[in-house]
Amino acid sequence: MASSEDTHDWEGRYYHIDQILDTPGPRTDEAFLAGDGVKNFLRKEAKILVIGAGGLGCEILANLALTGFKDIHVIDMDTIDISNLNRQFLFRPKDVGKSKAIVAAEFIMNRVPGVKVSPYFGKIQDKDDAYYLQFNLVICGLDSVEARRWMNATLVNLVDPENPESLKPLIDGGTEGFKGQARVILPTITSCYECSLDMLNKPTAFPICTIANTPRLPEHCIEWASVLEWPRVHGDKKMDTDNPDDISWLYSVAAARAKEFKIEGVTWSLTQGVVKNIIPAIASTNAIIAASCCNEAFKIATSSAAYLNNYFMLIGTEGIYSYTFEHEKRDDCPVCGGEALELSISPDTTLEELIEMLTERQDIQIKNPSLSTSTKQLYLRAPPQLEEATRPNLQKKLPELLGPSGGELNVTAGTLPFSATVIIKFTT
Amino acid sequence: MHESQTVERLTTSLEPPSGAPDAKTRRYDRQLRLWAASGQAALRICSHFGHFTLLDSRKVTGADAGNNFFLDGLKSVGKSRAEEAVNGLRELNDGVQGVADTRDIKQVLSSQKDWLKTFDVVVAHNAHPDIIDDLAALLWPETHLLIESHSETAASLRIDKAFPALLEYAMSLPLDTMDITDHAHIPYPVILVRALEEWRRERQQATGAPSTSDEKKAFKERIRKMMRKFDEENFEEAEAQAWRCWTPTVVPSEIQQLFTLYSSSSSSPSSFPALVSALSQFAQNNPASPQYTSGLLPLTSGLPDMKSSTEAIQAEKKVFKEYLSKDVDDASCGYVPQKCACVEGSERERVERNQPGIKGANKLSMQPRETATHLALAAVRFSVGQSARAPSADIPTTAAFLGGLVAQEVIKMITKQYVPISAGDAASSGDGELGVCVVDLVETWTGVI
Ligand SMILES: [Zn+2]
Repeated sequence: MASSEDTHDWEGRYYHIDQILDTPGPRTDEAFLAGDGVKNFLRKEAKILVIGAGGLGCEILANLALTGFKDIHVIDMDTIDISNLNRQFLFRPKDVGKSKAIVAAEFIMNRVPGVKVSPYFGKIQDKDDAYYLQFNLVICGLDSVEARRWMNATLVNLVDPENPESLKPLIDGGTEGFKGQARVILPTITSCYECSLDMLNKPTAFPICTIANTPRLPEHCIEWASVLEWPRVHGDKKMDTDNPDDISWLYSVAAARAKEFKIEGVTWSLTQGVVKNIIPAIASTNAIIAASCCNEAFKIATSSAAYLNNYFMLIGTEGIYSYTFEHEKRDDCPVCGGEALELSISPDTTLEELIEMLTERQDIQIKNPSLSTSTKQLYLRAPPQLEEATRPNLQKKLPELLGPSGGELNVTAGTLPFSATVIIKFTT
Repeated sequence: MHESQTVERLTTSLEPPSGAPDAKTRRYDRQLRLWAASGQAALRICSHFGHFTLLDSRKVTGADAGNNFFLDGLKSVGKSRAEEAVNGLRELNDGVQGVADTRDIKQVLSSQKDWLKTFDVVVAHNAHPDIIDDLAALLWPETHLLIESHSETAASLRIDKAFPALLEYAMSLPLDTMDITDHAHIPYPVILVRALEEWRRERQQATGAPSTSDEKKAFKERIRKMMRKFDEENFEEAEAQAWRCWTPTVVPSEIQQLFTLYSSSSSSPSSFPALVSALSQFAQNNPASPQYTSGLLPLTSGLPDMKSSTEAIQAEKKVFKEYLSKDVDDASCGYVPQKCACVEGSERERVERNQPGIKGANKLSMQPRETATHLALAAVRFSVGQSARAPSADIPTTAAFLGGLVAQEVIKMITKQYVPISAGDAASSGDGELGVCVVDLVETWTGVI
């Protein structure tokens, strides 16, 4: 175990990094303390949290360790799968089935002496505010939108205007195939993850009538197998997309359907990709995005240079194209904006239809919401007694619940640590 | 539960269910989803994960050990940089064969040039400009790179110059009397072909399309009026795609350039020039239907998804497919010189199917699927923003960023899929010169010059 940092350093170890830390550059912040001040902070005080030890996470951890961060924490709830080995380079075949966070931490500590990596094998939701308050910086290398929304909202909520230390810069990276993005979020100051929710690619949802009646694509046949045939044949038994037998069943059903409609292209791999919503991933894109995340972390932690303001987008499918821009904060962002979101809808809309709208709108995307006004509960998901008591409201039209001129609604969801205020106005 | 298991045990312990992938496929699953079977084969043959040689004559310094993740810290200092790094890299993937070579590149360039030519890809980094120039001269003959573009821009449907079978089919549909459900399922290209042909007949002209904004507006209105019910999505789609009628189908400039390069039937034994030559002759003159295809490339085979019924789509696909295979036959059998008759069918199709993606990446050498498969990539020369402040600093994050970019370009070249950087990216002359990517990691942007 690493006890004292300095005993591990050797002559010339930081030759490259120190050239940056010893001299201010033309675009260096005034707060930059060239020399020992900044080196001591980076190597002895800075504490950094990495969320995710997958494709991006492995690269991020290695970069941070080489850059000179010595107190690194990492959270990941996943175990290592064989399909991780092509790019998650801290893992070997012997590690399949073990915790990603623990194996990654051990690997880094073995390879880069003097660096302490503290793993947590579990969910980010297990940790409280006090835990997150101990870090100087958080880097997210996740493939889950929900987890990022949770982390983002948690860090925004953490900000206490009286205490500047409570503002934790969040650096978020994401990749898909040859494309990726890195961004710097200063909670409450810059645009946050929730502000940009409408930039996410809309998940491809196929209309149920196409799936049921007029399939044209192999994906339509696979959806038919998983959405319609699975519940019909298996009843309440839940599909396990990690179980190859379940995928094989879906594949054979989808293939038969495809044959009937003379559609080509249903394969085992496509079936698995569609039902698990697999995002293609390659090592090189992860390397680029992780490097730019860590580069921002280094610049912010040391004030050695200006940092990204605030969004870097990379598209590598045709040449190398990138776009750096300032994403603007949304005044009606439910997490960091002060204003309520206004919705103009027909007075014929039922509460159930409103819930469907809230789920589907690109800038809201709140799944399974509970709704209330300042005086009454309109629909609650839990506990079961309250769900049952409020369920009849679902079929009621909104004027009946809110009054003829509409009003303010509070929207919450169990998976998100915030509530959105929505003002309903009726169109005439 | 989480006890470790070897790949072999995992895969032999249970029979893979029917159709399920083997261990190797599962390991590379997330990247195989990006490049299809042809790219996989290239990776296997050209050995992206098969073999690499690391050439470096220097010894590991303390500074090297501090910024290279694949060196073993202080333990590596003083030892061969090539050998130490290969040890670290080899441990990544036991299916990869890594060789350390401690010769000096200058010495290799002066006395063992041919050895360098045995590689599929040569990556030079942080090398002296003279060495880069020598490598370039050695490895850059005048040949081309063939790539599967995976282009996200829609393929031409050739609405303005519909081939006879499609035109005939479109005009034969009894739009006003046919079953209303069938009417709502006519694929939009058929609607566009029909509308355009009717527009032309009214004007008694065989070619042409709406050109002024008033004409275009009226044309969209015309499509709207063809609807028999207010919610026929296929007609809405046709209206949205009406621009295809006034976008002339022409041979893209990149391909015109290739035609100029291979103007006469090539004497090269390579399949690629022969195919370009065949394609060029197809474009110049197609006796099958000169009126419709003269000056055009064969159709690309992919049809976009469209709102339609399964049967209508299948019918249209069939019309397209029959025509496409005729195109392919005309292009290859008719014009490929006898001596190149060994060109494999799949290769031939690939050239034609992907013609939107064949870009003249001059000075990149690729002669696809031959015994002497030979891809030479000289260093993609990157320059870095930090250079003025710290002239000799090699920052780990900068190195990782550039390494990622280079790796990405190498992967594209080896798999012959996706489009590598070229100077054409910068909207400049697009003369096919290899591009230089500039990276500024202070303000975080990249550009290609
Ligand atoms: Zn926000």
